[in-house]
Amino acid sequence: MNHNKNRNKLKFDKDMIMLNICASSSDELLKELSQLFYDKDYVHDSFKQAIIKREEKYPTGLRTTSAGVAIPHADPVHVKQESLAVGILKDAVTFHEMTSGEPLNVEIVFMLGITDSGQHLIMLKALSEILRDKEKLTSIRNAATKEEVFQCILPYINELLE
Amino acid sequence: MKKVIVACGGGIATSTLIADKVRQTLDEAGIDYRLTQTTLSELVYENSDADLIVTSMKVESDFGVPALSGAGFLTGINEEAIKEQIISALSD
Repeated sequence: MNHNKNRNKLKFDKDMIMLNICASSSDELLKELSQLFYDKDYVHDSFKQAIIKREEKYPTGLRTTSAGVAIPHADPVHVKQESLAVGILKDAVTFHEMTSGEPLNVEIVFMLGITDSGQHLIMLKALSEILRDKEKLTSIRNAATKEEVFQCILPYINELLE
Repeated sequence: MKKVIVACGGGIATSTLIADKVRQTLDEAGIDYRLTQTTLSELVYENSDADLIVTSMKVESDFGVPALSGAGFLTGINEEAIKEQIISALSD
């Protein structure tokens, strides 16, 4: 288990980005994207199920001025290392909007590996800035390479990175 | 003194972000308030004397007081309209 003092420093690089994801449902997308965290040993075995269950109970879809976004996450007990993954879908899948519970077509997913609530707030504040930036979201949605996505997001999270 | 409750699923992160915005809105409007943060499950017990509930998640129960969605504070969508709704819900 990773007990080093840097576990609260955010890990995010091009390996944590997936483009052109083909998923037939939000569950399928959540399974596929959460695999990135397992590949890096950032989470415990329970992470995938925890993400899916939390999404059912407390949906994380958000309408924006650009593409529909979801910000799935799990309780910190399932997470070893503060981390972020970004998935961009080839075709939208249906999530549910956070407050109304209404179906929402989602094209960009920010999956959060959160180690504690303080980190969660810092991460949400950074994400909130991206969600407010219509042009940036559209650039992320239409990016042709992982590098492009990484460069779009980097300015918002630079200070959080290890 | 108006009592405002901000609630989210985990009760911490999203509600803190929304609570900051609600405080800012009420300070600017010069409304005297007391704000508490909670989770959806605790909301059932805490809403009794509230004047307004602002949430970041779906609320199925009717708590008998105005309940607003604060998701726009995350995305900027309809942010000004939400601020106006908050102020009008707390203005006598």
